[in-house]
Amino acid sequence: MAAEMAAFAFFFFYCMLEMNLRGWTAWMPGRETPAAWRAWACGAERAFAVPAAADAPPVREIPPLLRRRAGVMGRAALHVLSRPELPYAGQAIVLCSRMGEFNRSFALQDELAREGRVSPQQFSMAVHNATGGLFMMARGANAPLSALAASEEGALAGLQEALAQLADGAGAVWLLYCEEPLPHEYHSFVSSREAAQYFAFLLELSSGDEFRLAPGGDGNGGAAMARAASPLDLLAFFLRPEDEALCLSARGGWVLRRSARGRS
Amino acid sequence: MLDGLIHEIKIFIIEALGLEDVAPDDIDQDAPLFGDGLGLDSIDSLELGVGLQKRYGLKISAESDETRRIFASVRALAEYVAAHRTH
Repeated sequence: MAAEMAAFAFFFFYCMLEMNLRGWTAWMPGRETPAAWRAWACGAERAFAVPAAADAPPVREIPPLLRRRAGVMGRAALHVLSRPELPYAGQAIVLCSRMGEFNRSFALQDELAREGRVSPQQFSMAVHNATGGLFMMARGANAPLSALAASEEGALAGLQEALAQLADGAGAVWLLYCEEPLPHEYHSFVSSREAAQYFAFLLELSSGDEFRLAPGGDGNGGAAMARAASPLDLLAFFLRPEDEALCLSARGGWVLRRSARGRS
Repeated sequence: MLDGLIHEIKIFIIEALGLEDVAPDDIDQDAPLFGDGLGLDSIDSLELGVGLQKRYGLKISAESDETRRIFASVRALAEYVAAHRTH
């Protein structure tokens, strides 16, 4: 028994990850200012109307020869990565998207079936880290870039990866979440609200103890949820100072908690 | 005759490669397409190869000295298309 408790204490200690939120920026069609995002986060109903089509941000900060290959979601991601109020200074980037620019892959498959060959340009962008690569090329940066796709627990996976990099000594990490609507052929297969809208948001995480991510969510402060927290649930949590805890896993495994310092 | 094809190929390049903010008159018909000229890269050359096959029925090898000559400039490309197009 003592050995089990010691093992649990060991596991808990080494699984506890801490962070401060140094800055954020977010974009989705019709919701582009910090004030609009704060109003959304504090509203009782956080549902979105799905836009029929989205105009991509112009992303003039990225050279035309690089940005021409980005789709709407890619441009949304490049937009939040390029805001002057959150300047890039060589931080490692964790890019997290459940489906990425899946419409591009779907169109490629359709083209392959119809014509037997595909556009090399589209194919070159049909990898999960392509958008992050465009940003790194535009900045001439050689910082670590991770691209994650973690099904319904993407919010947790992205946070774990970013916080692990902080724990490993990174001074600051950029954590980017982005999605776009899936082709209608896939709508019957997904339940996530996030699969139906364009959005991109960026969090700058730095070392500190304003927030703590640790396992053990059952019976602790009502943090358990019927489903895993989505990326937009995570953003809302950061924007609502009164929220004390967010359960990031449907199995109740991991909880993000706000310390007293994180409420200011 | 060749002038018309040169203009057509400039538009084809702009559309095939998604060259924002580039108009046909911005492309020097005698300047290199790759590297210092328009600034296109190796993926663009593959894209143009596929596009030329679809549009003009041309088959261009990915690796040959002839390919370098064909893609040397818009004028060189237009001359090759005029001589070898199948539709």
